[in-house]
Amino acid sequence: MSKVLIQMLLIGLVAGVAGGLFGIGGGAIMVPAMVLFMGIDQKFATGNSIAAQVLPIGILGAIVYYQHHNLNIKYAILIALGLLVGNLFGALFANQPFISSEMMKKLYGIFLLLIGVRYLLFP
Amino acid sequence: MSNIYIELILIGLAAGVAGGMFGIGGGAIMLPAMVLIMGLDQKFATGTSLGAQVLPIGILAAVVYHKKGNLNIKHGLIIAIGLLIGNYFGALFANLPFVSSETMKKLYGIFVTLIGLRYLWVR
Repeated sequence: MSKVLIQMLLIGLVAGVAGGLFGIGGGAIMVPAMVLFMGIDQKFATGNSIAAQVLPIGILGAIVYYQHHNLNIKYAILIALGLLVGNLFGALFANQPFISSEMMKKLYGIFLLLIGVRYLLFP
Repeated sequence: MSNIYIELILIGLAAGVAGGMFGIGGGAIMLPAMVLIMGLDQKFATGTSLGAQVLPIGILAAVVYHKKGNLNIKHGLIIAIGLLIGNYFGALFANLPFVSSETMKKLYGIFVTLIGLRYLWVR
């Protein structure tokens, strides 16, 4: 396997651990890792991250949470419906020609920072 | 439909838009929304978020990125393999009896804040 592919696999592993811990699907790790470490373009990294999420990546983690009664299947299906449709609109916006990868990078950083601070200050 | 179901669909929609823009699978929005707005338990919200990610939520967005040449299918597949396995270990840790939802909330806040900071200040 080429170096890039091994890096992808490792990023997926690390992002998966974070995803299993925090339920975040790993994108919040995958995208920074591809952009900041591998130097991949922001939009391209976003595309790869979304492609990985087409597959049922959450299945093993979900089984563990389900066994510990920390998962409601009905809730999950409803939220997934919203996600499916919302993802389309987000993707259409980010892929407009006048939206640069540089701009998406800044938006992404601000977005994560705000959520983290909100979580820490107002638990 | 009951109130809670409508809330879940709306959260999914908002998280989906962010997911499509940033490739994050929406968990970084879903979790804070379920925990901070709906008042669900952190671990329960994580399980629900993972449950939603069992479904191919990224499919519509991935089509958009692929059309614009911002997606490498092979890279997406490989990163997904890592995610699948990593998710399992993360889920096992978070569901240990001595790891409380309170602890996971703090860890999550720190985790997201650090990534946001790294993104904004280190290029």
